[in-house]
Amino acid sequence: MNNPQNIDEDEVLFNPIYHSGKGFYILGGAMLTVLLFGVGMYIRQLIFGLGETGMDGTVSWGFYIISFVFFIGISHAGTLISAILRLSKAEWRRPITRMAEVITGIVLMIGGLHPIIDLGRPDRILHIFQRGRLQSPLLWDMTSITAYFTASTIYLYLPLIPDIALLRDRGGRFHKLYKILSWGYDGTEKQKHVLEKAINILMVMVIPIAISVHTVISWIFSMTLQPGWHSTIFGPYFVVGAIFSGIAALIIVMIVFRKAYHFEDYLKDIHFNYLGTLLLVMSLLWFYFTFAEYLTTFYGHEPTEMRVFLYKIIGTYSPFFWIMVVCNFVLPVIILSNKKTKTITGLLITSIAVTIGMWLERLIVVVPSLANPRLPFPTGIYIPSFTEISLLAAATAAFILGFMAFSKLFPLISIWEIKEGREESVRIVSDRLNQYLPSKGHIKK
Amino acid sequence: MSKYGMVIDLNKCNQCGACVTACKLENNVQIVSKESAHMDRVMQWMKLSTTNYEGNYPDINPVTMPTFCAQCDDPPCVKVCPVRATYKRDDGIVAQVYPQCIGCRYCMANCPYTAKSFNWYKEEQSIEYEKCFNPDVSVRPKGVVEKCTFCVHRLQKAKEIAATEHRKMSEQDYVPACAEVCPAHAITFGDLDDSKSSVSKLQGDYRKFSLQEELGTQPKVSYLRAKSKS
Amino acid sequence: MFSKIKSFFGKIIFIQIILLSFLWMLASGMTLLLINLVNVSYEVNDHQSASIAISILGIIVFWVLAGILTYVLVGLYRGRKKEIEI
Repeated sequence: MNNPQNIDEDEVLFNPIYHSGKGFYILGGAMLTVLLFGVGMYIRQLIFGLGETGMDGTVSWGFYIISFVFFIGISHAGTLISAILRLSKAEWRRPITRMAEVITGIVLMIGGLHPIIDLGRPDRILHIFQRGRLQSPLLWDMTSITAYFTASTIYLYLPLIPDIALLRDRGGRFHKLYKILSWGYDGTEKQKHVLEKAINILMVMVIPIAISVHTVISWIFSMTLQPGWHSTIFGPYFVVGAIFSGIAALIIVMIVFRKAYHFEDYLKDIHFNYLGTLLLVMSLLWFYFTFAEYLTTFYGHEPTEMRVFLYKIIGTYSPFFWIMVVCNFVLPVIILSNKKTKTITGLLITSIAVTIGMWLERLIVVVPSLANPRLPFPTGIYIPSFTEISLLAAATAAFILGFMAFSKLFPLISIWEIKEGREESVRIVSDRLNQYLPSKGHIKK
Repeated sequence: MSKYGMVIDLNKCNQCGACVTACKLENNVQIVSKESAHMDRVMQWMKLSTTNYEGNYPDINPVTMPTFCAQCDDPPCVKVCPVRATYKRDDGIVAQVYPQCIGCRYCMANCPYTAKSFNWYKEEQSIEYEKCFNPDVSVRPKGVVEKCTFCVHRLQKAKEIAATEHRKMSEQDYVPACAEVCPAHAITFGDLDDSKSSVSKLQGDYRKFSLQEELGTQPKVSYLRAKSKS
Repeated sequence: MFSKIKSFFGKIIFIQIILLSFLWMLASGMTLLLINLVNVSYEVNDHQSASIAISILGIIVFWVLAGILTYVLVGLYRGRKKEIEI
């Protein structure tokens, strides 16, 4: 079935599946080591108890919950961005959507695991199924994350089917797997129609699910009475932060794979340019929300809220707070609003800064509120332990490993969508344009 | 139905800490190591919290008050527990089921009184302490949350004794350990629903206040403000 | 032709159906779980309205998702060119 035309056109995209360089194995090995070390540290924590972490009587949530919120936040990169771009028929989405969706899948798995790592008695996790209480926001979370994971996995899988069929037709490694997963797809009209219809339904469905996920995560905090958490703005604030960090993660992934797998022909400056604009918009939006949140707190001047506020702004957590502001607002605005610096390197720097900044934002949401409880007699401190840091490293390693594994099984850029774009985009877009351009010289009588 | 409550007279309280010790011994609360204590992991169901300092340097006297689970009538911790490990009994006591707790610590995060403790480690207890463990109270494993239960095991016992003696429970039958040992008789405990009980009579006292009443948690533990010394 | 279909049933479709049934198992498992949790909420006198609202939403989402995937996979299977061996 090998079509020579096939090999010529988009061979670059198939290439990573069949050939791995030396760097791949070295990086893979290193990441695997980090991951296994993290697993070892977790087993240690299981044996000795949660005392291995830096959490204490007052600050009872730490790195694990921060990572949970952070990773689930990144998952919004994917499905949400890809769904919105598909929905708005943005033609430049074609090489981007796949990577975005993969991010979602991997990161949801990692993020979803964190609450379990955080449990004092993970052996009793089944109590949730047997005697769970749906009125607890933790259960809302469980439901919505499971739904989001299922939806985004299906949403990743459906547009993957035509590519799997291409891989199946090429034969070779994992031939059987592709055969099973492609469900006999061979591009007949009916199959295309079915697939398109399903993707259309899904992309509409996935957006509310994605938004609900992060809203519910914010509700874990805002449903409590803690100062600094009990805020109505938290739902949208978290969603905006999530999309913001998601876009940053997506840009990092795109730049890395562009370099590593030579996708320069597919991921062009214009894609980064558009994504950079999106990042800038989200940065401004994030700042708006942050400003609104902190200004109302400050103006209200409620003593319990002010303790948390001052702890963040000028107190113990002020370095983190101001680094966050620089990373999430100052740096992106400076770099991205200037045409000269809005290059791929500039974008990479911004995106890394934003990722760090958003992680710090989660830190600043979780810890200061717990460290300054309403009854101020014990105020807490929080210094993460080595266990927590190594588990954060392991989570990052798991993310990288997941991406590497995926890139060896399936193409990271949607090949059929690229082909479709090449064949049809110009016609479709010009047709569409003609539809909404006003016709010349007509006077209504 | 009875509804148990407590009133602590801060005017009588001489901050001796007997209640803290009695609570710890009565409920087999873990004694943590020095390192853990430095990390703010001290386990006390009842603790003396320093609220103020009296006098001028160097003659400073810390003013403390005993703080512990307020036994809210609308408890925020119960609202968020995902497995019903913490729940409100019909007699108003907010109890904790240790074998049910999964250790998510959501209740700790949502407790406005910071009254809950978590078993970060299962630390080795000294033989002397282990010898005087109270057999009526379970020893908690690592990874679960615990807090003041108004010595609910004493209620169980008192009920059974009263039943075998074919009489109604009297006020003296059920008293938590802290109230029992208080040398200044600052702690009054009893049934809030019984208008004749001494704790009910104190409810109308002009000095009465509860911690963070404004949150609407309706705490059943209240205090009588100390009279000014002038 | 017939033998081909027979061998097809022997191999791949079986695995495929098992894979698809996982999703249905998840959907029905979530349904059972949520129904159980609503029952529990009645038992322990929680706020049932919240539980019911969440479970209705959750159940619908999972069944729709399973439905979509089944629709696609059945559609793909039906729509393939008959002469191509799978």
